Amino acid sequence: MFRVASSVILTLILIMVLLTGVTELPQFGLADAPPHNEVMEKYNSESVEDTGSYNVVSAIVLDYRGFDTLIEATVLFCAAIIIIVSLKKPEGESDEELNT
Amino acid sequence: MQNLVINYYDTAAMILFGVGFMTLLLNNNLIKKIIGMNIMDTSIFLFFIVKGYIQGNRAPIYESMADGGAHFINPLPSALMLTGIVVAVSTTAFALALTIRIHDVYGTIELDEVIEKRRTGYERH
Amino acid sequence: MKSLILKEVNRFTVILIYMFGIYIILHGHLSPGGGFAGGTIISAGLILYHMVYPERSNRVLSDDTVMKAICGALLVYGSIKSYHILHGILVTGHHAKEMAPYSIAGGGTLLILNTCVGIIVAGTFFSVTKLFLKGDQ
Repeated sequence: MFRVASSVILTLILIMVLLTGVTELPQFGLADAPPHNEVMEKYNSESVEDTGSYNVVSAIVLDYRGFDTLIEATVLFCAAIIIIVSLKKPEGESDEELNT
Repeated sequence: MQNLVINYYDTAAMILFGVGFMTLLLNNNLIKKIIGMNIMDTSIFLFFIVKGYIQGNRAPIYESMADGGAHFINPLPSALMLTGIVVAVSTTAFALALTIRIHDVYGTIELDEVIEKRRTGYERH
Repeated sequence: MKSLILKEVNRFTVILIYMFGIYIILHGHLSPGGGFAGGTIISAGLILYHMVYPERSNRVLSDDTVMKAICGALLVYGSIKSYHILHGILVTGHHAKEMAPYSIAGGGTLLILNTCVGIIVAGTFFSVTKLFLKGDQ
């Protein structure tokens, strides 16, 4: 009972603090918000000449910021290797011997 | 207080974060804890991608050559969150692999039973 | 999958899933999609193939083959991207591309990069799921 009550109070305090932060954010959908600066205009208008791709998000992810995608593919590869290493059974054991 | 209703996507993202957090705290089963962590990740992606919307503009894809770049939404938050989604999937997969190993050693998935077994001296393989 | 109905139906639907995934990868620079979405769809097709025909899947798509494909795709992506970065540093000036608009080959090297990312994503998801399914059989 103590555990349920303390978890509920802790989560409510956390949500109140986060919602206080949401009240300070700029309005939704206006054109003069801080993220929309000259970087967005450069990517939107010159993406066809520079890369030849009509999809601006593809041009950003693969050409302008393609180094991030290389590191992210490495993260996927590392995750696959880690899972293979941690689920490997040693030679000579089977699944029934480990379950007691 | 008006801002909470105008930015309703951000309010929903924060409430979803709280729901995921409470799922993480109140359940004993390890798989339900992993689901709670995944819900928290998804709420942060929603919060970030919404930051790129401009009212009255459309998706950033050229449909004909005469389109100007002046009526597109901001493509940058969507492109940055692709990497985040991949990291969330990798974390969930690794957590599930660790759950399989815990079940192999202790024979159970409930977290309070595992703590009880460790406290009363359980010899492992 | 021990049911005969599933095996007979999945002879047709698996090929449709692969075609859909390859279409999304190849048109990554013309419409929404790209490497990640197409790779996920192809991985779903591979998992379905593994659940319906386990012996054929263990012979053709063994652990060795999938790991070599993932490593090869990662190396190809890394070498092409390093060439682009060095080309931007060492060479000044700007070359415009003259290709037919709205064609598949109009993106230049974006096609190869999309394919490499698709192979990496599909291979990773398939090999992880194959390990999780091994405990059942």
